[in-house]
Formats: sequence, structure tokens, C-alpha cells
Amino acid sequence: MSVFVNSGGLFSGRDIIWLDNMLKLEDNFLVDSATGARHLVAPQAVPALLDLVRPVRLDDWLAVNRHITQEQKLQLMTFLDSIAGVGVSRSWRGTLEVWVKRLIYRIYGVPLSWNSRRYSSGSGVLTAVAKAMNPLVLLVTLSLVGVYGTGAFNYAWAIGMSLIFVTLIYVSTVAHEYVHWRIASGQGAESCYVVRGLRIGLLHTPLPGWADRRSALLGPVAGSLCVVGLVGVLVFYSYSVTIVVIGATLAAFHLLSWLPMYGDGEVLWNA
Amino acid sequence: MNNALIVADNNVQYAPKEGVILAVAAAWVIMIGSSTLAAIILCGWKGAKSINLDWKRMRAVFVCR
Repeated sequence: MSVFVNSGGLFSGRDIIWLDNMLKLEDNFLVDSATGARHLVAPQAVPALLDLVRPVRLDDWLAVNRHITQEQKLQLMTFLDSIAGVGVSRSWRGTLEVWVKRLIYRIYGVPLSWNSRRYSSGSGVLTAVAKAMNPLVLLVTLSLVGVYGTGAFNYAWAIGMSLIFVTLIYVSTVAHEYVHWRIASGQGAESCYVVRGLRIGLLHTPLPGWADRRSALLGPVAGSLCVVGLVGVLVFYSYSVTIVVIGATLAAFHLLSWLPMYGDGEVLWNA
Repeated sequence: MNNALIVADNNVQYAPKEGVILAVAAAWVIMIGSSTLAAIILCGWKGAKSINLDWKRMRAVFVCR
């Protein structure tokens, strides 16, 4: 059985996996402290979940006979991933292998998912945003190779603009997500950051309606203002049309989070 | 999120407050990156003299050396 194919690209057999420490088994319930959810677990699935309390190699976990089949175990993993409840660690070689496999399957038109991961709230935002930006940094690096290959641009200029672009995105996304966390924690809510591919968001216990809307409104505003402020400082010292264009574009990108298909927009449009 | 072994708590929403900035920024980088790739294909390695992207007319002009 191919773990990669059967999990829709979420896992590979060599992954080290574990149950996130915000999830606890209490009798026959899987209790999620980040949302207050209590998921009902069938008795035969409890031992398999208990095996995930400590990090374990996915192939080894699947091989242990716990009265449920390997397919059922993968279904459990898929469910845990849907609530960002499973931690995954991969070696560099494993990560490269998964990326190559993903590319090949994508070319054949096979739909694949990105696995999700939780990060602690508060200062965990620094790690969460850095993790979510990995694919973006790779794309920027590949584009820089392309820019060099054209021979039409000053390469030092291109590297400088790329660094400004990546830094502006990192700092403004941290500001955006930090505001969400401040408002949630101000209401005493439990929370964590969830990263799924390039998407990053704050998962939290329910907030009063007004606080939810305030958070959805102010998060993107904080991201945009952060970009405007940083670009203002850069332009003050050295005016560049390119920096202004990058800043204006990124500020607008933050506000796209208000579209109804994204978490922030969903809250505002359903108010 | 239901299956035979686990029944999800439907009283709880698992929709995080999600920013879209990184995904949109990646699309932008892919667009810029593909223009450079087009320049390499059309003019060869280090063969482009200039690339002009006309956003209003959605047109790109590649001038080779």
C-alpha cells in the first residue's frame, strides 16, 4: 500500500508523526483544547491513537496490529490532518522526495492536499509564518535564477528587491496574525496558529460576535498598515518606484483576506 | 469529517482566521518568474535586452540583443 497515494499526498511512510499536544484522549473522546471540540472515538481506535502520543515512524505505526486495518489507520490520519491535529517531521531527503512525488502526481492531474501543522500562539507566529513562507522563498529564488538568465536586469538590484519583498511579506504577515491572536487572547480564548501549505491562520475557541468581527477586520488592516509604514521608511531614505509598487501590491494583497472565501472574509460576510 | 472510527464534534467550527497574503504573493512571483522564463526561451540565456510588462493591455514585450 502506498502511504503517499492513499493519504492524498499528505504523508509518506518515512514521516515521523505524533498527536499534537493540544489534543488529549479522555475516555472515548479526543478533546481539542484549541477549539473546545470533543470528537467521539470508536473504542477500537483508541489504542492506535494512544500510540501517537509519542513520535513514531508512520510505517512502524501502520505495521503494529491494533485491531484496525492500515486503511482505517490512514483514515484516522486524514481526519487528524483535517483538524491540524498531527505533527509531522521529515528529513531534508524525505522533504525533497515528497516534493518530487507531488510534482509528478500534479503533472498527471492527481489532486493532492498539503498537510497542516499547529504552532503555539503568541511568539509561535514567528516560526509559523517562516514555515508557511518556505515555498514562497523557493519560488523567489527560482525567479532570481530566471532574472539572471534573461540578462536584462541588474542582478544586484533584483536580489535587493527580492529581499525587500520577502521581508515585507514576513513582517506584515506576522503583524496580521499577531492582531488576530491579541484580540482572541484578550477574550481569554485558547488558540494556535495553523499552517497548511501557503495558508496560515489562527484557530481559537469561540469568541463573542463583535470580537470575531473586530479581529477579522483589524488583522488585514494591521498587515496593510505595516507594509505602508515600512515602505514609507524605505522610500524616505531611497525613493524607488519598484518599492512603491511592491508595497502597494502587498498592502492590497492583505485586504484580499476580506473576500468571502477566506477565513477573515467569511466572518465579516456572515455577520 | 465523519468516518467509522471517529465522529467529529459538529458544534465546533474548524475555520481558522486565515490570511491569503502568501498564496497571492506566490501567484504574483510565479507570474513574474514565468515572464523571465519566456524571455530566456525567446532570446536565449542572457540574450534579452529588455522586458516590458504592459499591465493595462496585459501585454509583454521582449527585446532581444
